[in-house]
Amino acid sequence: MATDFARTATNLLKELKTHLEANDLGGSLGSVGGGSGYSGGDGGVLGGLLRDPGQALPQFKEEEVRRCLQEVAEHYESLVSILDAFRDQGVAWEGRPEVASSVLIHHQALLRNKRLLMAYQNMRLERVKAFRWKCGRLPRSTQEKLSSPEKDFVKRYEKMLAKYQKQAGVDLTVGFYPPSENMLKVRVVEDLGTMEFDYIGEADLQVGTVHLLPHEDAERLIIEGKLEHLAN
Amino acid sequence: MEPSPSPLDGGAEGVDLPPDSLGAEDFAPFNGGAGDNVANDAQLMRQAWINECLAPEILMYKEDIVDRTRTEIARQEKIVEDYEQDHANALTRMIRLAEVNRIKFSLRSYLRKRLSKIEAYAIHFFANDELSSRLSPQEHEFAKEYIQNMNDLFQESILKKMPRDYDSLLHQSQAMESEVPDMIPEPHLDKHVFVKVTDDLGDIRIDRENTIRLAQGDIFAIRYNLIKEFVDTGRVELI
Repeated sequence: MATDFARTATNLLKELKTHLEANDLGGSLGSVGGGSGYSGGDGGVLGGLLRDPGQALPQFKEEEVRRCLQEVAEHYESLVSILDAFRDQGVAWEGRPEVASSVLIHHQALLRNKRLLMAYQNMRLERVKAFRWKCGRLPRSTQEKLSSPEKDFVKRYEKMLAKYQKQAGVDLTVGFYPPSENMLKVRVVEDLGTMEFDYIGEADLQVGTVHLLPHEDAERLIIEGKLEHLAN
Repeated sequence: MEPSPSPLDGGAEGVDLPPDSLGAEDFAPFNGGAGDNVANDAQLMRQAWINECLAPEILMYKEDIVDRTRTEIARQEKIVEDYEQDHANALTRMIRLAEVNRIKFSLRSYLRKRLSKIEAYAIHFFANDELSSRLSPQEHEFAKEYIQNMNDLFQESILKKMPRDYDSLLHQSQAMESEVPDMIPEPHLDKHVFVKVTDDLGDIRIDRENTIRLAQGDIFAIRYNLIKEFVDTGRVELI
């Protein structure tokens, strides 16, 4: 019985881990920027974009989490009932090895579940943050996979980042790799109309046209998916 | 008559440029005359960035370097933009632009690296006075909000539903086990780092019996703990 309990939490974590590894974001899994190695010949400014954004984060496993928490509650109840029974009788439970070991097992099992749940939530958290740093705002398919507290977290995280960037006066969401060119050759994927850029003035971004744009602005739009980088 | 030096000249001949020029003294890639001992802002920024990337814990916020670099970047960008129509010097302008972009990159990476360390070890920094003095005021605020945000997330999804004694973010179990919070992640200060010694440091004790002599110019792979206090003062460099 106790082994069944333990299995759920471990399975939960293992499942998430294999799923995440199978859909690696490419580059770093670390939470903030800094891709591991700039592969210039990759045909893209950001070496290793998502293979399938929809798969990158599995659905928050509400059911499994609930079962884990239920096991925790059951362990706790057993624990408390043992302690209460002994307290009522006025006998010290520490002295009786069979009781002490049972108390210890419940306690440790409880802690193990707690650790696994926290680790699960933490892994998802890191993943969501990595996603946000790599791809700007999360696409709708990923947003659906978040639990409601996670959605709140993402909203507040965006606000925090925006505030910090404004105070620091630096945009931190572009420039993950040392720039090797001043201007990037890009093809427009989404119609953006006429936009103004530093150094070159206005550019009319119709779908299918090819432009030479300043590195920084181009990178931001490439991350958002509106431009396509044409590497030579 | 000699034409007056255009501000776009990189000072290649050692021409005396007016102070408001393209900042040859700071950024000029051709500024060979400056010598190796003058650490200009770009180099300081770069070294600060390298140190921050390689050190396991967060280092002192180099406010003056960051501020100076930021103003310099803004100034350079404006000059590059102003000389957009000057086709005679287009190549120099492009090179200057490339340099500005690279320095912008190192500034951004520096700040991003610090943020990532703050996120990873937020609670630890917050609880420790010495460490929280290394953060800039904006980073401090970011850390505080991040802790609140994270706390709310964990509370909502898991901790609220745990039994009473086990629902803390900091303690594994408040009733049974420890008085001291045992769930706060801390950076590993024993990590080995590569260092290059820039100042003669004499002997350093590395364990009970042995000492190592750190002379200028030596390169070591050494535990971070042992050279911690020298990194900030610049007496060793992380490489």
